Amino acid sequence: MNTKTQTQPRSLLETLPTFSATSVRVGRRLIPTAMVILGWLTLRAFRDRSAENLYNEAFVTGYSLAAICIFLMLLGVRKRVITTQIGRLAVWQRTHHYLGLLSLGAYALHAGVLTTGWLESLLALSFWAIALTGLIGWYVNRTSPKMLAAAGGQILRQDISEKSKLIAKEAYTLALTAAGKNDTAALADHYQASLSTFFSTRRGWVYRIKPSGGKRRKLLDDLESIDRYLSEEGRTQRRAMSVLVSSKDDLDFQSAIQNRIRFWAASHTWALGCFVVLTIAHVIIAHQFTSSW
Amino acid sequence: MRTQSSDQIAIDRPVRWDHPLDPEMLQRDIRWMLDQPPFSEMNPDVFPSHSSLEDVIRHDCRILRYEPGDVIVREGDYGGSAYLVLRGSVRAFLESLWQPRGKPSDLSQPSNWMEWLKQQFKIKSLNRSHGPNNRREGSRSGPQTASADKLRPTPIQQVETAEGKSRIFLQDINAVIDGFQSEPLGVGEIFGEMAAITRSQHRYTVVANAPAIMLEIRWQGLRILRRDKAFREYLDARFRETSLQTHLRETPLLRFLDDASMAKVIAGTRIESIGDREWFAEYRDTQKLDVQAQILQEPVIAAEGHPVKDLILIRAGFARLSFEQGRGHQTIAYLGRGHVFGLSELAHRFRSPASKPLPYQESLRALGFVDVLKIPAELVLSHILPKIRSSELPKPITNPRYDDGGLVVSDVLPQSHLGNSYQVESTLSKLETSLVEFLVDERLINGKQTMMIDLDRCTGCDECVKACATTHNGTPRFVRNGPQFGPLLFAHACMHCTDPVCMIGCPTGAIARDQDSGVISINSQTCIGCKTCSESCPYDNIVMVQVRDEKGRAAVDRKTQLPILQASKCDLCHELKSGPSCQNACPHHALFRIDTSDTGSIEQWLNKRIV
Repeated sequence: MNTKTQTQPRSLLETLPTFSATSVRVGRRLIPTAMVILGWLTLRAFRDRSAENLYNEAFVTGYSLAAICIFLMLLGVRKRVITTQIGRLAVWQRTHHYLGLLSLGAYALHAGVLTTGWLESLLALSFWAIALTGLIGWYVNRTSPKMLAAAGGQILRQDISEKSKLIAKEAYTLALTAAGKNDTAALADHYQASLSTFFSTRRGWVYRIKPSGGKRRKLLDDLESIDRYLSEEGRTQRRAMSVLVSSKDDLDFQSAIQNRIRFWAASHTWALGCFVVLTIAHVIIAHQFTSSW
Repeated sequence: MRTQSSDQIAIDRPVRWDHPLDPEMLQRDIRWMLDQPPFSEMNPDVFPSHSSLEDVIRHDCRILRYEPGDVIVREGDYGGSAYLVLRGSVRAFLESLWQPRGKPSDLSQPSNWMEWLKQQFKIKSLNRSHGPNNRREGSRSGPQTASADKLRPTPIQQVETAEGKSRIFLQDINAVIDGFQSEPLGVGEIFGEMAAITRSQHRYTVVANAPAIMLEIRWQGLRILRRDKAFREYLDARFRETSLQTHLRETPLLRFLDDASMAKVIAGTRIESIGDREWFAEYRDTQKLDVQAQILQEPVIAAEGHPVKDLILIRAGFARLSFEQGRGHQTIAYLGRGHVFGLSELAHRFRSPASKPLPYQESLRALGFVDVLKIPAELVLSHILPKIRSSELPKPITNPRYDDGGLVVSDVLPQSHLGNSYQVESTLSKLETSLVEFLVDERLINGKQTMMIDLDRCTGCDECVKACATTHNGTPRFVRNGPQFGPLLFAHACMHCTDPVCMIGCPTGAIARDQDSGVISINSQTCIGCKTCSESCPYDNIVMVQVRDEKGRAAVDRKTQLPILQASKCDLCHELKSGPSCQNACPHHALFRIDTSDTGSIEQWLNKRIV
């Protein structure tokens, strides 16, 4: 008979006290920032020490930068590993952000800000592209949720097209109803002249890159201005049309913002691909043309 | 199995009782049991031909043998079966043998790091004095249970038998019987039915004190057996008697009562069930109504302005605490198991016997199904209130909303009455009224593991959905959409409810609650795709998906060529040590699991929320 004792132990982690919101906020930003600064100072001291000992400091900083970049790329691996217990992705993402900052410092130590030669310039360009897309992506991820929440909350990207079609159909039906009576026909005319294109087509590139509320405001103002030609019933229909305009604009806004988030994430990945290829070439050439460490 | 085409595979449609509870049940055993009460006293004609009494015994029952000391049901475990004593005897411990799991009172969450360090020393000293098997102080604290002799350990052991099954037993059953209040259960008696019927945790532990033979009847079989009138009446009477006693003994408010007073209180208390246990059908209809009309449809347990005749204890389910505001009703809180209603008014009467008694200051309405215990006001005044510490009594009502003449004020929020409910006082929160109303109206109060997405952080990257799909063979088990309150999205993901109504109708027991973790999951081996659970879920959190083999081929019925479906829902990734993959995969700390049945949890989360 195989006997084992039944206990319900409480893990040490479960008993840990919780931090207050303020201390969490301070801790979550200050500690990693201090660690980044400390890391950079250590790397600089290491480089200086290597130079003093007549080592090739470019290799020291280069391989340090490469190591940081490999750690940065591990985030992509973590995203694909779901079933193994290797920490919450949010923690990895946060670490990625701070390591990204450290990589900027390590890059400055390795190559300075300006580089010469076409290969080095390409490599530098791809590095700055990663850094830039990463920073923009970070900013977009920080600011977009509130924008999305303000424009109708959680709307799934794959549902946007279907919902737009439904709204367009509803607007068309409303316009058709309005066309049937003389005292509401102005709404149908207005729909035909100004709104049918808005409802049935995608927004232009300018809006998709930088969505704004200008068009929405104009359409709503124009709609309101036809109230004088409408009966009470027509005004009710006009208000319903205004709601549909707002809903369609919200969907367009959602689409633009969600695509923006995906665009910057994808750009970051593409830039990474270029960087990896160029880095391999750079390492091979560096070893080929440098006599010693 | 015969392959139809490259993307389809034909199989036999799974049917009920493909997987009996005991595949090794012998015909001889079945015949023997049919001759034993209560089966011998049942009328076989009340059972349908496709679910005869013999079928129920064959498929939904199994015979279990126990040695002295073996634990048959354990307090705190979720129950899905009732047990009938066939031979031998067992004892039911109405008194708690163990501290509720995960919440030992002496190891509560510390508020700061110094407290935590002190607690670590305390843990070590506790471990030294009692060892890892120490019995912790019972949940019913107070002079009757906290005495030194009651602190001795009741070690339990888990052993694996020669047949590879595991059993849990108490090491020294005789000492435990001597030290704790217990009741004997003899041949022909049934226990565990309360937890099975209400889909809740066992409130007592049952241990064999002599070699015993039990018949385990799973909930699906018990439901069919309830067709027999006499058996149903027996179960209902037993349910009322047991639940009344157990609940009163567990109520902290009554912990100072001596045995004589407790006996009087038990004798005078009434148990009432309000609403339908299968409330989801009605909820679907009322959900379409205007909010105020919905509230008016809810059965009133106690109405504001009416004389306080009883102290009301909620035993199961949820109730809405509200008061009339303008033309509607404003919800102050929702009360659940263990909460008390009417105590402030009775305490007021107790403190000022000369003044006229105050009526109920708020209304209590049943949300779905509620079990309440009603202790008459006279008993409360004479036997309970004199024994409660004055510091534990609710705050005096200084600004009553109603007095003996009726409504006093109509436009002031009666903040001073929030302590009306004994436990609500501490948990009734500073949550916005609108949030409380939202949670109640959407019935999210039922959720123990509600998926909540903070829209102020969510970018819609879908990492959570991808992680869920990866974990579950390519099919995500939740939809990143659902009811929203401000920046909080309550996603369509199984909430592992306090009252999982999805489990009621399952004919095979495929959807079941893990007795330790409380996670509700679907066994794909026994799910026959009848859709009962998905149609019962009031939150649309269970979907039917086509069965696929490991090569991704869709299964179709060999006879009809129709697709074979199975229910699919979130199982909290209970097979992964790392916990729910959706939560771990969120890069923005936007997705959480939260116990929405407890306002305290939500309040705590909102306080910690960093945007």
